Amino acid sequence: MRPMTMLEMNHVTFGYKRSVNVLEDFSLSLESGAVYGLLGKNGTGKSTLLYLLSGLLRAQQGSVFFKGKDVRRRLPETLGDLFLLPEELVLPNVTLKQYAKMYAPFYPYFSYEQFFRLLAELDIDDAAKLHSFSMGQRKKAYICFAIATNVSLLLLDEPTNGLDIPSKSQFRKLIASNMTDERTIIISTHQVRDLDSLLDHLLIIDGKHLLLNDSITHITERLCFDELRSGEQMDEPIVSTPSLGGYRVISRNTSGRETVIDLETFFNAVLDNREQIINALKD
Amino acid sequence: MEKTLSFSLQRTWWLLRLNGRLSKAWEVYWWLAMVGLALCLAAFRKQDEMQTLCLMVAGLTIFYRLFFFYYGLKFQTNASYLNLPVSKLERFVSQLMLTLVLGAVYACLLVLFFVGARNVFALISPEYDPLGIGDMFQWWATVFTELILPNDLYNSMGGYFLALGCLTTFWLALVCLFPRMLAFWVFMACLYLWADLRIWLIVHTNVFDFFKANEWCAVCMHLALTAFFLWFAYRRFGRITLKKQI
Repeated sequence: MRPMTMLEMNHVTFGYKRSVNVLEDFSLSLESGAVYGLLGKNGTGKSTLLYLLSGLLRAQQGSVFFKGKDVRRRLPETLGDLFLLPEELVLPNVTLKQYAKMYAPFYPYFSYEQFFRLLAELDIDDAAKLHSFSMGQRKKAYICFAIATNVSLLLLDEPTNGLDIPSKSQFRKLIASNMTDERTIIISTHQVRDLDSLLDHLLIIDGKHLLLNDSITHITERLCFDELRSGEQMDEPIVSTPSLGGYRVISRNTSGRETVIDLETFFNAVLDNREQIINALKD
Repeated sequence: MEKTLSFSLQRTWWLLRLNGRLSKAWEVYWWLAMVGLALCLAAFRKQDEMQTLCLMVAGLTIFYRLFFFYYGLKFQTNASYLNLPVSKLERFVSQLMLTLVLGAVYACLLVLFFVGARNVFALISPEYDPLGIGDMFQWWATVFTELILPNDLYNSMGGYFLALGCLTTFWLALVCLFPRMLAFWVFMACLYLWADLRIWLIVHTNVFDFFKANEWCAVCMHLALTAFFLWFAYRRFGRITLKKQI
């Protein structure tokens, strides 16, 4: 079955000041049942893109449609089917139980059972007040809430910021185990190593434009990711960057070999050698 | 149609409940800040040692409470709050209801407190009140009933609530216009200007005599003003963005 188009962004131009555009003639189409990684350097418009997709910001030109409805209209049925997890959380000083009681009624598919189960999995006390939590705990609690809303579109802005190492792994498990064919998750991050095993699609943006929009499967079909020791050689690598004790190399996949994507090297390669990477993916 | 309306009413109720929960703390603080301002006004107009002390306390109260006010507003410009699945109208209605209800309750409590305190001290013989606290309450009660709230309208309960509604709607409009702190300062400045304007009007014109004699004119004027601010606030509500936050 062909995945359904969930989000469509057509020729969007947006800037906080009239003279400076953050995004320019930006088009994007996202399908359901995928975890998208939104990668980009600081200040390239990742958060802005998420806010535009959620309807919190309005494009100066172009349109954004979620399940065929214009997000700028901010219809309750549209907003009830998407959830944005902002990078900075402002939460009231209430317990998680109270928080759920206050906010959950707005989300028609919210599951209390799932929420409290996720909290238990992450060892978060639902009777403690939110202000007594550390930043990481608050973020984890909020992520649980976001998942328990069971919305079709989850927009996560730097979700792993502030999480410790075990929590990052818990986060990956949480997302993976709660992914469905009807759901789309967009995770904006600049910490690519936190999410490399989770993503199945990459969106890389830089300075107003979309540099790359491709699935991990397609990327690994076309490219090989290897780590060579010092002195080892490879024929015609596209990118070769030094690492501890050797080199990280991206080359064309001519042999049909399966390798695991090295997101950090790939991201840098797209920024620095875009033409070569794009050509290799097209061939 | 009925189903849509029922969902809409439900959402408005949930939002009202949520806003009540979030606003409870900071709205109390805001009204306390207003008391502070009233004390400041009183102290400026009658300088003596006790009132200078009150001025300091009031000033401190304002600045201390401002923090909480700022904190409260942070909720309302936060992405997760703004992206709650409610329509603009539902958001506006619930905000307005809450502001009016809380405003009316707190303002009544304040007036009752000052008038009550004045009456209690009036029972005490001056020899047991060497600091003149009774006089002070008398002064503050006057400030509340005459300076901040128009005394001609205050005399009739309907007029009083209209004035209060007008004031709170004005406040609401300002919050929509100027997110965060600016709204507070603009509002305070307007309040102060309004108080001074009233004094000027009383001294130099007979406009209040006119309204006193024609109460319906005053009521209509306030209704029109309230409607204007309602319309203005409604228009602004859809345009709140997170520009400054991202």
